[in-house]
Amino acid sequence: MRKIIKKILNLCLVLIISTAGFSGQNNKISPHLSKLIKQKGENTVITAWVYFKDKGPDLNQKIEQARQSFNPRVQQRRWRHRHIYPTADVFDVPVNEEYLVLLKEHVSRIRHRSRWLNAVSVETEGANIAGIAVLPFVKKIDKVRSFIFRDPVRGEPFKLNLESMQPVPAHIYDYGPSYNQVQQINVPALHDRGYSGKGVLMCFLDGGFNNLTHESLFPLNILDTWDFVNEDPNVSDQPGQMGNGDHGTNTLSAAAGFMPGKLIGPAFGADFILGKTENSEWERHIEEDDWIAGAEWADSLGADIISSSLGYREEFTHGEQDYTWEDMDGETTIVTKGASIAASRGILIVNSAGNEGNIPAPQNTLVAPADASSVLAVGAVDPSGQRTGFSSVGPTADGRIKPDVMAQGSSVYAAGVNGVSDYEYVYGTSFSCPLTAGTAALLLEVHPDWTSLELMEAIKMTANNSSSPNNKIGWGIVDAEAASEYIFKKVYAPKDFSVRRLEDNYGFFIQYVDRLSWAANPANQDNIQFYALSARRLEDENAVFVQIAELDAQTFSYDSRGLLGSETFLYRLTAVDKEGIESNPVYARQ
Amino acid sequence: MKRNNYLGMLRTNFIIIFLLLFMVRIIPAAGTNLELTLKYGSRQVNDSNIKEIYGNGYVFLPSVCVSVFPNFSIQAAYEGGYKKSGSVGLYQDESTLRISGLEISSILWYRFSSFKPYVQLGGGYYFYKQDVENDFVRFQVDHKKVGFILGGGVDIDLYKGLFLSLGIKYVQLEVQPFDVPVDLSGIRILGGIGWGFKL
Repeated sequence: MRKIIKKILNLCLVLIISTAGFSGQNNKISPHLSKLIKQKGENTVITAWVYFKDKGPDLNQKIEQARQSFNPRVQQRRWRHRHIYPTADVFDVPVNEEYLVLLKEHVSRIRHRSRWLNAVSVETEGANIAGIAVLPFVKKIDKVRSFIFRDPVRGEPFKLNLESMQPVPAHIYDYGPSYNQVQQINVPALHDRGYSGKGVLMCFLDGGFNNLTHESLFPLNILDTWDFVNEDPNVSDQPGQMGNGDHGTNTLSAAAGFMPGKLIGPAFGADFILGKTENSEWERHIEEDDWIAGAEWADSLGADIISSSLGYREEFTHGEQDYTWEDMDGETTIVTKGASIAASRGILIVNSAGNEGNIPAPQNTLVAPADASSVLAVGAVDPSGQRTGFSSVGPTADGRIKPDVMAQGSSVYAAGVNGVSDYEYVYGTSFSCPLTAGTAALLLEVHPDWTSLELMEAIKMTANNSSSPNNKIGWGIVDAEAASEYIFKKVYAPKDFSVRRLEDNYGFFIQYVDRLSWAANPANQDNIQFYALSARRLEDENAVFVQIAELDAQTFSYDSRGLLGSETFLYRLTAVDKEGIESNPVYARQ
Repeated sequence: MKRNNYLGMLRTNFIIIFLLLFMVRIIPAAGTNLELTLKYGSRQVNDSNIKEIYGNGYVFLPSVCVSVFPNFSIQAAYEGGYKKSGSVGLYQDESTLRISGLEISSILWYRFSSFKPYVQLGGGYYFYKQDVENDFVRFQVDHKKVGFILGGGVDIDLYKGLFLSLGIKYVQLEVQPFDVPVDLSGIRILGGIGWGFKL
């Protein structure tokens, strides 16, 4: 009898353990990936992210090894940001090789390794996923999402109205047809002072770079190139390979082309690395692991600025709703996570806001990673300075104002791909982005001690709508000269200021609450005495900011209660230090 | 919207007619039956949100009933006692809700030995008052609204004019003091003691 009871108990134990193990494995596989395997069948090769639980033993030692392996440019950049970010941390440690050896038995190819995400992207048959999930060091398996980034329909090229033009002030360069796009953001003033981005390393992540022998690109100092789609150093189109490299040629030339009389971009004197991360056609096919790999590559080479004219949001493209407007909250999509980690390495990420402004959306039409708080999201204006209809709008799903700034994204004069002297007019936030990134390079040359956060602050606070930012044009059109003269206050503005409207139901009536939240700026180093919060009613054009609260330095949220549904406010937050010095304001609105 | 106005007018007229009838007989002639009753019972609230916050409750109902025609009486009553506390809104603010009303009803009854079943149709003028007060918010909803009454029950003679009264009534009371419509309607199940006598 005892034996029978023992057998039954053992059987129960085995059942419990096996059930727990099975459900544990299933929990590791994301619903999106399970759905994909079901749709395509278990014998189809799929692309998946495999996330690891850790980076193996001796982590501190590995961090130190990573620090010692930094090249001089990386060391310099990390040192510049030492007050706000660690000079080396777990994100710098490569993926554990031992895990890769074991994983290789289950996959046909490892596409990319990501030290930032502690993951690898792999190609494998759907049937192998369950086997990977059993591996004890595997934390999660998810599908690698792919997207199509749409460029807007090209319009008629901008024609200068010569009769109404003011006399052009004398500049040392003749910008030719590209004059308007750089003058609008006041770049020639810095060129006149001798700045051209020298000493700054810019990385372009794009769909390929054809025709690098173009007369405006030939003078550029290109230090390195890599094709992350086809895995070779040639970032131009090659027979039998995927991709179309016109777009990168356009963006690179907008930022840095140099052919006096025809095209001069803001940062022609900078150094460049070019990464092909898109399998591009006119509507560009993008896989997120390629972008992450490109950004990590840029970090390892010491890039100061990444110019990335891409965007991820599947509902606009495949209609599968993998990423929706609610995911544009600065922390959900893979590229947003990657961009935030890149920013924490001290890299300034400049990204196009998106070309989806004409599409009706519940809250925003942003594309990731433009939603990240540490990414400078750039919208598009036309040559006269008016926002173009296609330029994506904010706010982010967590209520932060986006886009950040604007630059010309319509009738942008750029290098073409049909010969060394071919030029064309191009359209999209893809081109307002490199114009702004090039401006950032100029500013970094002027102020080599500025951090990426300071660059962002200077660019935003001197843009032409900085006194009243909104979700269509953000802080407005960039002003390179004003940004170069920007004086930082001793106190840094709080970070990640956002607002979210909540419903407060009292039974007989509904009031609304604006829940404001922010984060401490690490650069302030515990000097903050309090945060000052004020609000301006948006329905009344003549309304002024009225202080609504003073909150102690340990408080990072505030609920503005008792609001009517029709009331909207622009909120303004400053940090005040112990000497009474107030930081620049940050703004948030619904 | 037009339908609501029409219903509102109808209700008001209905109440006025009963009020007039009552006034005509307010000083009853000698020999008129007069009944004084006190009932107590449960009160339901239809509105799911209000019910979740405050719940159903109890009411008391003193009334006076005058027979004006054979088998027909007019009843005036006060319904009170629904006073509940509850936490409302995002911040779970403490609040109280009071609902009371003055009612006038026509009673059609019939006597079977010591049992007197009746049906009741009438209207009432109801007061509802919500108070929320704490360090952050202070406000009061204090409104009035006319409602309809439909009910029935039975009076059972006990001893020398004393009777047991059991009844059920439904009060239809939909209010909208601001943007949110709230259904304060609900069934009451009541029981009590009455005393009837002739003037």
